[in-house]
Amino acid sequence: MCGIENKYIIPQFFKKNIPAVDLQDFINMYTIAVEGWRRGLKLTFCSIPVNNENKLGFSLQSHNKKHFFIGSKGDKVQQEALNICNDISMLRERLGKIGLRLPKGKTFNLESDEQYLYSYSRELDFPIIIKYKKEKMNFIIVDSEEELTKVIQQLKADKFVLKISLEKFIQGKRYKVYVINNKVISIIQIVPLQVVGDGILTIEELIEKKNEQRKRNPIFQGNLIEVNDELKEELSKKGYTLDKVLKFEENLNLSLKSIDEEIINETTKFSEFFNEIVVKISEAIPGLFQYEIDTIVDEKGLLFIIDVDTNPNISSHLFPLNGNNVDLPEVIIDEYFPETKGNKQVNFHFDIIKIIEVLQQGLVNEIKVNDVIGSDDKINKYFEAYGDVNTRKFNDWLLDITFELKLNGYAKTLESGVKSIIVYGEEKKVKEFNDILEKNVPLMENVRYYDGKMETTSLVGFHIID
Amino acid sequence: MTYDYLPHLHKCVPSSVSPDKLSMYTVALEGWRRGLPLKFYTTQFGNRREINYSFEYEGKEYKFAVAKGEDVTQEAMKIAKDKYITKNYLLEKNVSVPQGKKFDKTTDDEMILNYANQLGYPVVLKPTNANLGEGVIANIQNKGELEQALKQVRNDLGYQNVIVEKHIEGEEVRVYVINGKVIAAMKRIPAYIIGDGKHTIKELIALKNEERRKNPNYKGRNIIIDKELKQNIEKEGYDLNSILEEGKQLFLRNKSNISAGGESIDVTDEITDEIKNLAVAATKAIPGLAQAGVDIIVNEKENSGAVLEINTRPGIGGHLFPSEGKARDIPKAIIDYYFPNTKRMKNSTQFYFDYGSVQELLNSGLAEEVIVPPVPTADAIIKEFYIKGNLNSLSLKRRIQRLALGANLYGYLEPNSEESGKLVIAGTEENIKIFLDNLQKEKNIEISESDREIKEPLRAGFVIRKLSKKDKNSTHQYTKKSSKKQLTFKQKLYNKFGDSIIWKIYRKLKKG
Repeated sequence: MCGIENKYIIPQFFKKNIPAVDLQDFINMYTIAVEGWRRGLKLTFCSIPVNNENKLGFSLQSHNKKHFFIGSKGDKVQQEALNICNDISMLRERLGKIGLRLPKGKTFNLESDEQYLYSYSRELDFPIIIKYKKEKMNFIIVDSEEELTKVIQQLKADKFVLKISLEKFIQGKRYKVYVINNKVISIIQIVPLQVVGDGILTIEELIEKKNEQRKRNPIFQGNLIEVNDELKEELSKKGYTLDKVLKFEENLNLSLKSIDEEIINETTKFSEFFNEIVVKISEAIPGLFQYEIDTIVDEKGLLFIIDVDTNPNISSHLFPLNGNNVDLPEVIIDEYFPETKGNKQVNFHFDIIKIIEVLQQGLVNEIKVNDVIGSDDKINKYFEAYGDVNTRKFNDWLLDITFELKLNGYAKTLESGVKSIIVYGEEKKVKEFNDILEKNVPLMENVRYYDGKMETTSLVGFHIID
Repeated sequence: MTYDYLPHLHKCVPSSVSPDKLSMYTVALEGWRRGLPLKFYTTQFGNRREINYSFEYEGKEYKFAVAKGEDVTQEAMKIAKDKYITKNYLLEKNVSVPQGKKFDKTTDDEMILNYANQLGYPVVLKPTNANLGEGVIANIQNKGELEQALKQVRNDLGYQNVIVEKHIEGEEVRVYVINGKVIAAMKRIPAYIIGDGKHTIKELIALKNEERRKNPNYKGRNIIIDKELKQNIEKEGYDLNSILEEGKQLFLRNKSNISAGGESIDVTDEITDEIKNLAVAATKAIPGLAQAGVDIIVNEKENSGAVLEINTRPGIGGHLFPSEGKARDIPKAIIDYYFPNTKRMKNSTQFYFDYGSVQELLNSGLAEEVIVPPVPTADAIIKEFYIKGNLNSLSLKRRIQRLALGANLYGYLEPNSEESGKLVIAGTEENIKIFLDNLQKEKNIEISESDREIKEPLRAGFVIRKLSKKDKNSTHQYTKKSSKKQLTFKQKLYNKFGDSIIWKIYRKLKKG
């Protein structure tokens, strides 16, 4: 189940990886875990308290070593590196030493430095970026002292935020660069929502086209552009209306509060440029095995570092709106378990939703996922069973026999009361299952079967669907 | 029927624990409550998959199946499986057994009949190795009956290897022995009803089934109206629509199996020391048998008995939840035996763990091992709070959940409207403080402590409950929306299963 191929147009290597449901915060965890598991590593999910908050993590284990991950961050990222990246003033100091710039700014204690903060903001001049850490690094851009005051008051009410940084807002192009083991792996550019004319379509039609593209992307599908007052206002501000036809190659940038910026992969274009920087950063911050740098290049071509994130959301690299997708899970597992590089992958995945559900509720603490059954001669077969087959007894029998034969698949009761059974596994085991069905099976009166070739991923285990 | 629950099991057996899982769950619960790390895993037992479990204790893993630990060795299991070999071991140690002989498939019925004649009727015929009393035919009075029985057991049921024994008059008891000590004894009686002069037999059976649902060892094991049952009531001169006179006890079945509607009655204090000694001697006669259920036929008049069978994997539900008499705490005795150092541990009897999710993860083949969250420490307290805030927001509810679990607290959040609800949390005073401190940092949340004392048992984990039913009308839209979302979530997951698969189907109609 759960091929997303019907829904999104996604490069081949992801087809096998992403279930059709929205994994939101867990997409990093899932894509990396499934990559390791499919290479034959032992996969265990667990609950783990981080700063008194329950998080989900996972470990991957080969015969001689084990690595632990939370989100996209593995245990090769050392605590010292984490401490530096979590503290903007420390990061500023370290990077400053090697000649890397952060935008001009300072860190303030929200309680004690409030007055000083306002005077500093006048010195910096607006617009200003407010940065603070709450679970992740957060950014807020303010255009005036009035706005700044408002945001500061809000942040003061949030007891989790103790320190904030004020930084000069730099106009320029924003790039996020994913690095592992001193190598630049993927670079994406974050661009404002942009409609490009073709001389034929109206703005409204162009937006519709844009939405079609977003719908096919798993991270943008929930963020479609709506034709609403905000959009109309933004258009009229720029002197356009919805029914206007944009000229060929005419760019129209739209800044809408409710709409995420777009992501373009630019890895090939800039990797040399960033390679030099990456080498410097790893010297300045030891133990920074994997990270993402968030940067701005201003009009003069000067580079500013905005953030170094040790646990970035890798899905923007996986699913940019334009440009190539980069298979970061593959790269990450290659780095942690180089010996599994090129291990034959099998076309299986597992029910991650169930795992998340029970771990989030704390009903279980640790789940060791069943081994993927890897075999070349894997086949599948479809059966329709008739008789008294929608009973617990029959279901139990099915679960027993499929467990014994190491068959994956599912049984589903059709509206007619017929039980459809799909099994996949080693050819000889499927055959054995077939033979057993042909013989005497409790409660079943009759069976029809079809040979099939399945062209989608399959779920590990055997599932009864009511 | 009066149920005398062990208080620490009251309301602590989740509905997902069916009677056949009761032995496993209650022993696992006892060890878990003493703080032993608990793991469930799937294994193969015969040709079935079975969920087993293990405790970690002083750095070692102790494996259990049903209620049985590793001090019941493979060798003991092998001996006990074969009733004839068992008998030889018992005879060797002078443990009283019914006189009898084993016959394998090469022996014809004629020879068996001759032997029975020599032994003298009445006799018992049973398969050499079958479980749960299957194929056991007792009190065979004459040659004709034995011929019938042989046909049934050897031909119809297919058990070619059989034992013929002297039938001993008396009552069968199951004695549970651990480490040479009798912990419990019970007898089982066939399904019955008692008349009240008002209800028909059919109604009384329905009422009895209703009652059975309340007993964790009987639930789902209903008295089913079938041919045998009808014959039995006809024999007594009734039919299903007869009104049974007040006080009249009517047995409905021949067999006393709990699964067929039978009931267990505790007789631990009734059986004599001689019978207890016999049970203990039987377990000692088999090497490597630290725990077992010994079936003994007891002749009360002579205060004697004979060992019929030894069960290495007996269900303990009948001892835990008897229809009459005292419940016996076998899980306690088992854990005391295997983990003596935990004996004096003050255990948290107000907590239990979920079994449904463990079962689901393992049975679907998704997981091979599942570790249960640890029991709260003995100094854990349970508190209830009223909470005000935007409980419509899933992200807030999830955050509360993460903060509770992150501070090692269990409990639940139960909204009673979109803005308010109650919060029950359990853990150490210190951890509750950490949680509350963090929670109060959240914007727009108000918390006040309730003065209700929480007496009901609490499940490990932290669950966000649905809006309670009585409040549903006022917040109709909310529940409707959320349930719809869940549906599509699940639908998405499962519909994809069938629909997205592209089949190259070669129709091959087999039958019909």
